[in-house]
Amino acid sequence: MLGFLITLLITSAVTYAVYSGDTQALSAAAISGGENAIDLCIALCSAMALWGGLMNIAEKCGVTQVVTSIIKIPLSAIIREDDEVCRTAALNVTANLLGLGNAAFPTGIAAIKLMKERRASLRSRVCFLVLNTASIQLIPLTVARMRDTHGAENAWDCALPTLIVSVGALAAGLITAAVICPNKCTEAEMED
Amino acid sequence: MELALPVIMALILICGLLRKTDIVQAFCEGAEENLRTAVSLCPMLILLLTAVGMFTDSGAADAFSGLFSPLFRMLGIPHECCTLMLIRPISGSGSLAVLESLLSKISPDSFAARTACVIMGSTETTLYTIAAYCTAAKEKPCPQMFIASFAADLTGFILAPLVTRLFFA
Repeated sequence: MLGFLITLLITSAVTYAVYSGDTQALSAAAISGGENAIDLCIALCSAMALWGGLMNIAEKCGVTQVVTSIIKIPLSAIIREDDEVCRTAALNVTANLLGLGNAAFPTGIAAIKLMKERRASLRSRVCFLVLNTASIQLIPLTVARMRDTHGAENAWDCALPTLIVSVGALAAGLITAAVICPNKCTEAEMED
Repeated sequence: MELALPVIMALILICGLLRKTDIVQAFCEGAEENLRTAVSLCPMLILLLTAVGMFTDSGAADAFSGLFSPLFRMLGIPHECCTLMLIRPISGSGSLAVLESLLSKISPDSFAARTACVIMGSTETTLYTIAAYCTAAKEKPCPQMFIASFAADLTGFILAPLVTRLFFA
């Protein structure tokens, strides 16, 4: 998928540049793009490392566990399954919320597998996926770091709008899920 | 909001001290893990930023977003965000590359750049996430998953310029 996308981008860039006659900008971009990637990586390295370190302390001293048990309360209203399913799902939502990139994926898979095992309703499974595809991140550190590198007046000024839009998008996703998924699933739907 | 990070840092450190955690050791372990992740992103970003840079600088991106501009104008979305919105559901590092090239072209304090930042922070790599989870759990993705997730993304795309305008008007 990604390989296709990159080929598409570069091919259309070359075609368009030849068509418009401005090939100089294209050739310049071809050699300078990688340099920007290195700069971006260096900027992200420190931010990501700082966050990873902090979150490991939070994990070790029990802060993330507290967050998880708080998350579980509203979550059990969305995912109406047994306690274990809710707890696993809450772990995943915590990882997303706190930007624990490395933990989000394995906990998500664990939750999906458990839901499949327990024959969770279609609505619960769809809602859980929406929780993952609508990004709810408390601290948009990566974006703030990038804004800062490019000389933004206030690197953090997009954080609150981002949070508001995230919540709106999540709500829209959950409402859609509730509308299109019947409350009780039938055996036929489980086979889907 | 800019206080959030320093306050969270202080709170976590205090909690760590109170619970007698080895703060330095724990920090270094976590930092190292994320540092590895950041470094492993680098080769992919080189390829992606080259592709995105060529796409934007050749003028193809402008021509392409021009096709959608009537629709975008109607929704109040700046046309600069077009490429970002198309790549966002497919690839995380791809959209990172698009945002980076956008921020280096226009001022980060412009309306379009702020909208792009909000879009980046409030939406996810929907298609990738669904595919990855369903593959790992050996579950067939059902249409409801795509519909609900895309409803969330679409709401994010439409809300982003609205909320940005509200905050920075």
